[in-house]
Amino acid sequence: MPLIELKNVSVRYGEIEALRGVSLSVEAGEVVTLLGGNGAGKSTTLRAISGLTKPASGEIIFEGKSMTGLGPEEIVRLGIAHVPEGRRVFPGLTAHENIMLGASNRSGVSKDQIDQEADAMFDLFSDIRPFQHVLGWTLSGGQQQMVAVARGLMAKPKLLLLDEPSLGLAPVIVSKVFEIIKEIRRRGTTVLLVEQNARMGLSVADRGYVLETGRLVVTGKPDELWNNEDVRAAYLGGHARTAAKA
Amino acid sequence: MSSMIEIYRASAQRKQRGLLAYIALIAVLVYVAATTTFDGYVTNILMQAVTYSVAVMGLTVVLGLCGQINLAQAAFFGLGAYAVGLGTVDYGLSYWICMGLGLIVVLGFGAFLGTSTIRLGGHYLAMVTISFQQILTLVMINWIPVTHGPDGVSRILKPTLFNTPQSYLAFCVVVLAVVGYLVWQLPSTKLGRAMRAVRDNELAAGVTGIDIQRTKVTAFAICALLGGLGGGLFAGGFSYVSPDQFSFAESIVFLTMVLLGGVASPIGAVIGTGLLILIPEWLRFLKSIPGLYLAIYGLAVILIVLFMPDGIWGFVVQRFKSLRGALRLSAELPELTLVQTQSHADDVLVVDNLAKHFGGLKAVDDISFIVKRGSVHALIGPNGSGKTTTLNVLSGLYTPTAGAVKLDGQDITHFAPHERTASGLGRTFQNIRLFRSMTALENVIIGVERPGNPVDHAPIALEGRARAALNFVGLGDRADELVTSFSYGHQRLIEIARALAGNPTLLLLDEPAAGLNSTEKMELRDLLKRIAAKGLTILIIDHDMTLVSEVAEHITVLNFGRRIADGDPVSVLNHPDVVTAYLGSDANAAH
Amino acid sequence: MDMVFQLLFQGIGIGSVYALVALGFVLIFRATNVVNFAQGEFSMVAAFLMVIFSVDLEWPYWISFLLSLGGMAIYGALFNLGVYFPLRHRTYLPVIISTIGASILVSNSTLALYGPQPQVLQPLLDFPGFNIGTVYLDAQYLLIIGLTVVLVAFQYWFFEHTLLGKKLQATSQDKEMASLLGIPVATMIMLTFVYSAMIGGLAGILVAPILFVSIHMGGTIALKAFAATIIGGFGDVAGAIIGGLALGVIETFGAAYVSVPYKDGFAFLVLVAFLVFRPQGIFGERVAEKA
Repeated sequence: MPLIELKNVSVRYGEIEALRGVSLSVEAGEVVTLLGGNGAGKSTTLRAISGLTKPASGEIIFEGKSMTGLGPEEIVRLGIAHVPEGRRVFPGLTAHENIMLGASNRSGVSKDQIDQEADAMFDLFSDIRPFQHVLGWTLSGGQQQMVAVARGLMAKPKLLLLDEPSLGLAPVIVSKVFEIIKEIRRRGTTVLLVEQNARMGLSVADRGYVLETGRLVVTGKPDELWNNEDVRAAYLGGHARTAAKA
Repeated sequence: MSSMIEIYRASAQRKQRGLLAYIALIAVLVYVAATTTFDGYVTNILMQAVTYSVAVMGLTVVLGLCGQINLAQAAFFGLGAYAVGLGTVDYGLSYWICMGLGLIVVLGFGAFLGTSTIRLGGHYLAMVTISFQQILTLVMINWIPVTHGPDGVSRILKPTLFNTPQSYLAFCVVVLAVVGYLVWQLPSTKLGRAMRAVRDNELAAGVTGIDIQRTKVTAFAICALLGGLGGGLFAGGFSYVSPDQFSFAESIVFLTMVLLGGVASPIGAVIGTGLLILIPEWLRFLKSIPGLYLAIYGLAVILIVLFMPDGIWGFVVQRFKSLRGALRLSAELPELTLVQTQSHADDVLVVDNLAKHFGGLKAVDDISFIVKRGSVHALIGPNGSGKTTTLNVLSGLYTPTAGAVKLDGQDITHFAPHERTASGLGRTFQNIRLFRSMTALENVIIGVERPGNPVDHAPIALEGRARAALNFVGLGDRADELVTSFSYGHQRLIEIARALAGNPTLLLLDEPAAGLNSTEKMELRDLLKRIAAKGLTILIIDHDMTLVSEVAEHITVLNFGRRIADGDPVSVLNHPDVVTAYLGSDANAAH
Repeated sequence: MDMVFQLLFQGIGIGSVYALVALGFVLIFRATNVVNFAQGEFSMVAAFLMVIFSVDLEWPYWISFLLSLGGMAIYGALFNLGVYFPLRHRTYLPVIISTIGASILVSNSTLALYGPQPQVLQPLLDFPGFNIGTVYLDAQYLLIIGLTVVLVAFQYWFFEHTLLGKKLQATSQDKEMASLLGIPVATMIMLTFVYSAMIGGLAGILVAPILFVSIHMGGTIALKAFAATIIGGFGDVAGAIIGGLALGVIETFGAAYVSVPYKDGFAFLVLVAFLVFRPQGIFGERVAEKA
């Protein structure tokens, strides 16, 4: 039984049909990457899973149970943590406080316990340890990304949704973020990763899906996808395809 | 098919017939008011309803049209009333002079409150108007040598021309009729459209060239003026004024009236005022318990906001909207012309070492590029590369941390959005920003009305150009429909028509393909090619590489807030840094 | 000189009341982005609850005090459910109008029940006060200042050192993200209204023996609290406190040296002056443009 399964999920934003009948699944322990250009529906897929957006039709099943009708606060309590696009670090709270709040979905944990766990996070994210008492809005993009991922891990998720962790980050920082994703994978957390940076996204994945204008077009192992022309086309457009052929 | 002039004539005739009917109705009302002998009680109620209606129409303008709040309408009403009262009683001035002076004073206060507060946003305006109301009440009560204090002013004179209650009431009805007509017509004037645009979408209003600040202050000043006018009429009608008639509670009564009747139309103002003056008269017993009557007003306000946000008239209009046939005319329209500015310098847009930082985040870091006249230039880059920030700096929504932007040789780095538009910058938005209460035509007319647009600004020419622009994007026959009835793709086309109608020197397109399906994308591509063929300079920002590579002659690529490539499409899209930026680099992959 | 100290003392006392109400104002604004125009009625309702419990029913003072605060908690919750919550997805304008409607409804319902005659409430403490030199320190003013200090300290501790406080802050900064982390956003907003009603109520109870209990006290206090928040910098907690104290002092001196009838006008003049010359207030915006 897959950990999570999307069955024919469609999402509309007013006039726009952002997802058109997407079906996919993630097995426990897997890292699965969703690829696709802007507006392909990658973020919408994650938003539908975490309850931020209500699907117009279709069903999402987590650990064998339908999540239809559940809101984001209930879904995160089931063990699905969503690290959204743009990081969304609370600007007026410190890095440490941001990370502590990641445990808000777990009941019956003492503040001291959370405090210690947050401290432990800085072992994995040692780059931001010096900034742990700095307000969120003053952190750089890379530091904010690390805070956001650490905050997501504090939920002790069964499934971690990562939306474009490389967004707007310099290559050296991107590599660091992906090192962390590999470490998360090693520790056995299931990850559904959305990435524009196809090479990086596939480098940590067991499997990948490619979305184009709200539909799944290709699925497969990282190597297969990397060599697939449709994947390149989804990113660089028809021009690159012809240019590459020529 | 008929010509544009015939269409315009037809709609002008329709308007004229409406006006004639209106004048006939008013004539009957004035005749009734002037000839029927009411007893004093009825005259008083009518007088109150008519004078209050004038003031409430002020709220129709500021709240209904412009979306701003004014909680001091009773204060403005009181200023007008005291001007007439004190002027005629204490200083022996003529009614008309007092009324004139009163209006000047009211206008002055209105403009001062507006200019000092409006840029700060709605909450401040609400609080400051309440404060003004309180101060004025304090002054009326305590400045006894001038205002007569709590006793008020009595034996106020009517103008000699309308010395009987009957004739004065008829005069007030005429004033109300004129005000009503003007407020009714206001939405379809340039100023009224600007107010509606500000209410519907402030950001887009600024970008289409509307001076948001000035529009709001004007709306506020008109509201104050109508308040003062109503108050002046009221003082003459009742011959007695006192501070408690112009308290904060009365401002709330005015607000309730306009909300109950419907903020969108002067008809709503009259309905709301009439009902809230008559109902308490029918339910006089409520007044025997102090407070009960206002408590019901308070409850009514909450209930109206919750359950009838458009008021009674709005509700009626909703009900009957389907019965009114939309005016659908097709016409042979002239081809849309795009007038270019006199300057022939080769560089239309020069972006020079532009930077924008947010806290520790360098969203845009030292970017330079040049857009050549008559070219289609694309700005691309992966998500988070700084494209949108660049665009927001270019259109004046953000101030850059460093660097300069020149449009057609003019330094526009520190211009407000509407000033950039006046200098020739046109733009569309990724998440469509149309004025949602308006028709497609009205949206595009606002585009034509761009300050600095070198075309004929006569109404018929405005409408003709707007229709031609809509025709150009293929929506000419649906010009008179509300924008909300269009599909997403078509709304995008209306937005482009709005920008084209203003004859921009440079057209900025922010992700025009976002949210479009493949057929719509193809239509968009063809449209962009047709626009480019007219010689307009275009800067397009998009993720759709197929579209970009098909329409652009020159591409600038951003990543991490910096420029990583610049040149013709084939070389740029095969540039190793660009491929890396989009697909990820081999160096980073640990595979 | 003693006169100056005397006025300063009174100004800080009355300013503390404004500061407390301003604090409630700011908390609701930060949690919901809505300015609550019925904030002053929190004070008025609490004072009338005190009148009901301690004067009408003649229950012991401290029990009445606790019951009134408990009543305010319920009132805050009902206020949220009736006035804010149904409109939470609409723009600010309907919400402003709705809170104004609530303000009119509550103050005039009270008028209908109690009539226009101001009610008198006994001071909380039995002894009237004492002299230091020629400066008379009234016990009620001392109590107000003391309780304000305690409350501000409590609030600081609560927001900076408890997880619940952090959750409330997170909710006010980014509601969607807060809900993604499992923070119950609706409950956080409810708590904000409850707390805000309670401190507004406390201010009302404390000031009642000085100002009389009347239906107009809410409107006056709310306007001054708003002026205080503008002076301090809108949305800033420390600013609200400083602004409140400053306003109390300005007003007391104004009344003593300029004019008594226009006492309530000074606040508004200061307000307008700030709006024209320094709209960002003394402290300005703390969190700058967000990335």
